[in-house]
Amino acid sequence: MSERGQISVALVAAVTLVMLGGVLLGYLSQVAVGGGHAQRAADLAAIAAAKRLGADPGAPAAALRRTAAGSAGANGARIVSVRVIRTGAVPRAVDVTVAVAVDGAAPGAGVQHRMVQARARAGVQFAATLAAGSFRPVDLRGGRGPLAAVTAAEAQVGWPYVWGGESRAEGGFDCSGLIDYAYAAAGTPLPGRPTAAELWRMARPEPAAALEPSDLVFVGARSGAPDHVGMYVGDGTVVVAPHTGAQVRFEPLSAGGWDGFARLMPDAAAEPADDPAVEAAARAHQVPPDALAAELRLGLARDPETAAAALARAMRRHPGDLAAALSDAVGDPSAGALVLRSASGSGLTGFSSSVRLLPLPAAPAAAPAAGGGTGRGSGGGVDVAGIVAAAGKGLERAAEQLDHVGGRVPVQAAAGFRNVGRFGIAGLATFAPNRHLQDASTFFGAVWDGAEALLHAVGGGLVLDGPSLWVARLAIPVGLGFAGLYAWQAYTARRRDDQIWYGLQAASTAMTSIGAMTAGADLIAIGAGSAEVPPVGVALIVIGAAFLVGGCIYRERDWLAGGLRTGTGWVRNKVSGAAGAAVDAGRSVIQALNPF
Amino acid sequence: MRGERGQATIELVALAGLVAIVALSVHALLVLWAAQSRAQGIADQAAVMVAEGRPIPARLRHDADIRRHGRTLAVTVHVSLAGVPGSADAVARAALP
Repeated sequence: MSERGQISVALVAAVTLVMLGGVLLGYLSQVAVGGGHAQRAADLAAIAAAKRLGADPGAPAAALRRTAAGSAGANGARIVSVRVIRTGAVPRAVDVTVAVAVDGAAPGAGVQHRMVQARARAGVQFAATLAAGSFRPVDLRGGRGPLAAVTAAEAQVGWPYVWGGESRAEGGFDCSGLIDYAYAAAGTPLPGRPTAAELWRMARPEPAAALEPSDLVFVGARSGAPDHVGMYVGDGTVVVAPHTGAQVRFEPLSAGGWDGFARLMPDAAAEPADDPAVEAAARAHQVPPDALAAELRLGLARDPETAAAALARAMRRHPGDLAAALSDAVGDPSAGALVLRSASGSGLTGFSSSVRLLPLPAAPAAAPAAGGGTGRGSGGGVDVAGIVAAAGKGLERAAEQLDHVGGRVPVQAAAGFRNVGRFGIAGLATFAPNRHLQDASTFFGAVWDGAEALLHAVGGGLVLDGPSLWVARLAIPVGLGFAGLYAWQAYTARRRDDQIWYGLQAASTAMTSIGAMTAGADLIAIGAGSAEVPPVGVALIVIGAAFLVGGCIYRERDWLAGGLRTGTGWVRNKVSGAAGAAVDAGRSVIQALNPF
Repeated sequence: MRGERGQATIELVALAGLVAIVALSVHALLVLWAAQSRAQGIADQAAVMVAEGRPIPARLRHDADIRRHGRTLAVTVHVSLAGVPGSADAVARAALP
């Protein structure tokens, strides 16, 4: 007998452990999948918002949130927050937090939801190149007329002079090419591609004292066929493509030998002037004012003078490449590209962006303790402080991870462990090596089910959905079948004890099945996602569990009474007569309950 | 005593068979679980790479069948189960921005 018992115990334990392990792993995989969904949704939402920002650096926060929400929704999440991280006015990254409902539904555990949050950050990098075959575009902000022509001409400061050149494809501008471009950009295109002499003939001469911005200044006008032309930009300054080997630049009106002055562009209504401080700094340092203004506008510099000087130095280091010069001047290619785009407007065709997920910043490190008591070990000894700090960091990291994971675990893991426990009891009720243990397991299982059903009854009913709904659908016909089987066994049993035991089991199973059936047609309708067992049905389930509890007590009445007798003797011997009397009283109650 | 030993042997064989079946089932579940996790992981990585405009590394393509249908990325990991003919598929999907 003992051999059989040992073998059975070992094998039953092995089977039970394997089953429990399988169930536990199943639940843990659910947990992992729930968390993974949240992180993926956060990653893709952050990337979506960052790409939107990359395409339109000025996109409003609401638009970014909409974009992120669309992506998150497609991955089963909803947006909690969207935050743009900027340096000045330059966007650097988008930080997105999403929430995903993790379904904790499991057989017997009911429906439990928890919102799992995940966070991701996507960085955006801008890049800009200037097209080789055209002038540098300039954002005139809708401006037309003289000041627009001035702005367009000034934007070319720094490009090399090439005789006959009218585009960067030809290597730069000559003097009349610059004027032709600037007037065209300002909405007043000139016929053909006029030379300086032709411009002089087309224009209306003006006295030098009457010069207005956008008027033209000539060298050799006295001959009637000038060979050089520049544009007056105000404040006694001319912008000009001077000669081979030089670059488009600002010159004082008094220094160029200008002998003819003329007006080609009709007078325009008063236009808002650019910031005089920016204009002055740009002219003093020979840099394009629009680029300098964009740099200040984006918060990458505060003082026009300092910024202009830095840009001038960068332009000398990168001759003919304003994109590289701006990146150099502001110390960041992405910000430099954004400055160029801000200055050049939509005409900048070589503007692009790239998006990458970024690691989330770690929590700020704790400040060192005042006084630095331990400090670093000296003389090559063991660095105790370092080890302690590293261990502390490790623990902190582990705590972060636990906190991160812990948010996902409780609902499903609780349901999982709860069901693992219930499955274990059911397994013992079937596989336990002797009848007493089987009955004890059945007893505890019935108490468990009865208590759970009672809690649902108090709560107003039991909702079956997900797996628990399918378990109920399968369990009801099986339960009714078993009720009939138990009834037949009770009817055919010869011993009175067996008749009562099987009769109670039949009643218990029938009551439980009928109780579940009160959920109604939703149990049959395959399309139904849930079914509710009303309080009366739950009460029937409780009564069914009570029948089974009663059956277990009845079947094991002798065993229980024997145990109590043993307990009585032990208490009498070891404790006191009073305690023994109490146990006697307990025994009397059990015996009184036993009508057979 | 002899009858009890015989009974014990029968129980041993029966329960050992049961243990083997349960163990194989759990093993199959573990393999499928691992494949599903792998598919999820690949879908996560591939979706991020596609969203960022980067090519999917050959390493990922080697481990799974990655297909893009419009704005959905479907990742399939094929699984062979011991003693089961054919293969099972673990599929994970990600919606691209």
